[in-house]
Amino acid sequence: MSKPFRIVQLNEKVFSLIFEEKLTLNTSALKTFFEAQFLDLEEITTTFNRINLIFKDEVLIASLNEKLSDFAVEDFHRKTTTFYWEIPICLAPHYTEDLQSCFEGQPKNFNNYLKTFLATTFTLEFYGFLPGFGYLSGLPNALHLARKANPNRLTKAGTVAVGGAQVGVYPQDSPGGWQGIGYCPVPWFSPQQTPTVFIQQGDSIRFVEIDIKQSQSIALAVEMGVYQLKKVQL
Amino acid sequence: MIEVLSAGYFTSLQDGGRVGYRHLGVPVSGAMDSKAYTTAIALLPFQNDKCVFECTLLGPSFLLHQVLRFVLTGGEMEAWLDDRPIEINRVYLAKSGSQLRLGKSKQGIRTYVRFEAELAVEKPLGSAAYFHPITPKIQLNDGDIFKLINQPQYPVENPVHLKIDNHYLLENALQVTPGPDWHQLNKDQQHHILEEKHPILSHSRMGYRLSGTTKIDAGTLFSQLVLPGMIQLTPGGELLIATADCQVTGGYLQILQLTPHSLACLVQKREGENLIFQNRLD
Repeated sequence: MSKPFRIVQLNEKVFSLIFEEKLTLNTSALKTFFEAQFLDLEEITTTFNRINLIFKDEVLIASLNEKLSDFAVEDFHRKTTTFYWEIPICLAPHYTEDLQSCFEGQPKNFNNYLKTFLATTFTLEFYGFLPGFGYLSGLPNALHLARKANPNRLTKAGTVAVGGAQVGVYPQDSPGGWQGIGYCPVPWFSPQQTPTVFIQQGDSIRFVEIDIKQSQSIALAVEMGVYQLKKVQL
Repeated sequence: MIEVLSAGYFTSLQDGGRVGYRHLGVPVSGAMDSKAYTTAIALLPFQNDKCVFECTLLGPSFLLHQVLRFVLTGGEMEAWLDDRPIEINRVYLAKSGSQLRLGKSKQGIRTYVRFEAELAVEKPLGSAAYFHPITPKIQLNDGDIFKLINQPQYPVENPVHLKIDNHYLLENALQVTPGPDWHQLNKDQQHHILEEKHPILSHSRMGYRLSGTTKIDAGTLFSQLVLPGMIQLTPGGELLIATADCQVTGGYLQILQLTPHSLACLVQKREGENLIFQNRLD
């Protein structure tokens, strides 16, 4: 039996298929399927437990219910991870201020947090939020951090941040509600290049600690266009 | 050629938006006020180009180096063609060498200038809409030059005459429908949000930030799709209303959704104004 879902209407043109649990989806396979089903589909995106359908014009939920009555999400699961990436992270004190406030007066817990973080392998689930902001899954339960009560006005580009169970790197300066725990000097998104992102959905990621000097030299190499991330085909 | 003599407070080039790249995290962008944008295109329906200049609070001044028709739509702003005051929602023909000067916003805060010509501008990911870093620029600067690559032959026959209703600029009650997380609020909280006045704390092209006193701890949520017009409730009680440059996904409670009409009303409001919500399904 296929996994149950409910269809929720967000506005007159947008619907989400909501599943009970997190999915490991292959978005491009879904895109092919839904584009064949719905000719007026503008865009399809996936988030952890949802498939989001954005139409060009108004659509009635009844017609959607009918067309998707025997939709089986199992047919669109990702199979295997293709690449493993090592992403540099600088943990100099001014990059870990949010984490310090989360563990005020508990230096041991603070250090253990970062130690476990660096030992974790993450998976890129999908892009969202801002251009090139990849949502990473895999954060152990003990490392989940609540979002800020209200977002701050400025989180700097390159901030590695945790929001609940999710991890991501801010690709540009932006208001932000997640807790900053470090800094990554390598941008994940290049608007002038094709493809604009290099890490693909389903790829594995580990963060590797660098010091402030290494961070500066990586930033310089990125600027000169000569920096290469470490990537391994699995 | 159009020369920007002064850029104003915050003026950007916009169009219908950058559609189809949300899966990379790229916001749709485009004109904040879709009503004013549609009006601008309807009044000057020049096929080759869908661009408008979005002018905020204090408008720009342009020197027009050729004969050019244009129209202003949306918020009402002081405006002069050379020294003659001009009106909103009316098409004008400017002589070569004319100056189009916009001043302060009088009603609403976003005014759109549409020129009847194809601008020679880059369209990264299919749209000219300014959004950094997809486009190098965030806003116009003094001295910017826009070359024109195509424009109609003048005189143009059959200018469009439309009766435009600009009353939406005065509406303070915004129509909403329930969002996916509305049911996570209890009846008292729902009533409270709909009865309370919400002052605007700040705004940008990403969204409006409103104050409120309903606080609920929803735990940690997965980030989900965010759309322009969506109203999110933060644990601190603020209401965040997503607009054109809004983030593609976000993790606060998605409690309400503005109707397209009310979204246009919202983006004409300024800091300090009070808003109320009306449930359209009641």
